[in-house]
Amino acid sequence: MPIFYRGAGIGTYWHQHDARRTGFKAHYPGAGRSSQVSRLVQHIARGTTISPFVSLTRSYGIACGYAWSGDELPTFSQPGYVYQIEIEEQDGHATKLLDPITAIAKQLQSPYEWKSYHHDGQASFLLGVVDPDGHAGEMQRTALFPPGDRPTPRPPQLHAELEALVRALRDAELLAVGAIAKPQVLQRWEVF
Amino acid sequence: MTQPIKLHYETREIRLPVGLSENVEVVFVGATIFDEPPLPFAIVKYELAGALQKKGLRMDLDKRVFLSHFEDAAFQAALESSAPAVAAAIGKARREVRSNSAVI
Repeated sequence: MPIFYRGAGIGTYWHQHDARRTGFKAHYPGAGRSSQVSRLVQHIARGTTISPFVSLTRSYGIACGYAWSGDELPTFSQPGYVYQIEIEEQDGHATKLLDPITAIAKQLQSPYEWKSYHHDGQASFLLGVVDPDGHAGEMQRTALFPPGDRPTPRPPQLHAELEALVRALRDAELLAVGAIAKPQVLQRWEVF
Repeated sequence: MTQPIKLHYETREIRLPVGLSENVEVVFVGATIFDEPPLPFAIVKYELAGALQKKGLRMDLDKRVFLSHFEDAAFQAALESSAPAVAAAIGKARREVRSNSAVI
C-alpha cells in the first residue's frame, strides 16, 4: 500500500481546511497539460503554489518539518498537522501521481539537446545547490573555462531543472495532479 | 482522539539587519530558525507600517522564497523582491551560529 504524507503548518490552507472532510485540491487544477513539466519545475524549484499539483512526500519526517514551519510555531493547544494519504494506482479515484524526478528526466533524455540540466561548475558546486546556506561560496565561485575561451567571468550555470531535481530529492517529493479524494486521506496527526 | 505528538525540535531567534526591503512599509526584523534538526525553513517576523505583525512569514531558505502568499499585490511584490536578501541574511546568521558553536 503506497502511503504518502503532507505537512500543514499553522496559517497554511490545509491547516485552515480539514482535508479529511474535503480531500485535497490543487490551487490551479485547470492548468494545461502541454506545459506540465515547466509548471512542475516552477512548483518545486520556486515554490509556486498556483499550480495544478498537490505536493506529497514519502517521508513522515519531511511532513513533520513542514507541519512545524507555519507562520508561527506550533504548540500543544495549536498544533501543526501531518496528513497520511493512501493512493493506489488503480483504486477507482482519478488521482494521478507524478514522480518529479522521472517527469523532468523524460524531458531531458537526449544528451544532444542544447537544453540541459547540467551545470558547468566544479564538483563542489552541487554542495552549494543542495545547501545554499552552508556552502554559499560554492555558488559564487567563478566557472573555469579551457585555455583560449575568454568569456565574461561568471558563476556556474544553475538551471531550474537541476534545482527542481535537487529540491524534489530533498523533500522525497511526489506530486498529485489535480485532486486527492476524501477517502484517500486516511488520517491527520497533530504535532508540536 | 489522540494526543498531539511532541517532536522536540530546537529553534532559535535571530535578528535581521535593517534595509532588506525596498518597500519602506515592510521591515523584516527577525526570524525563527530551526537548529535541530536543521530544517531549511524560517519564520520571518516583520513590521507593516510600523506595527509588528503577530504572524510571521514562512520562508524556504534553500529555494529563497517566501511560502506565504497574499492577495495584496504590492505587499506580495515586496515579499518576492526581498526574499533573496532575507534568505541570505538568515543564512549568514546561521553560519555565524554554527561557527560560534564550533569554537565552544
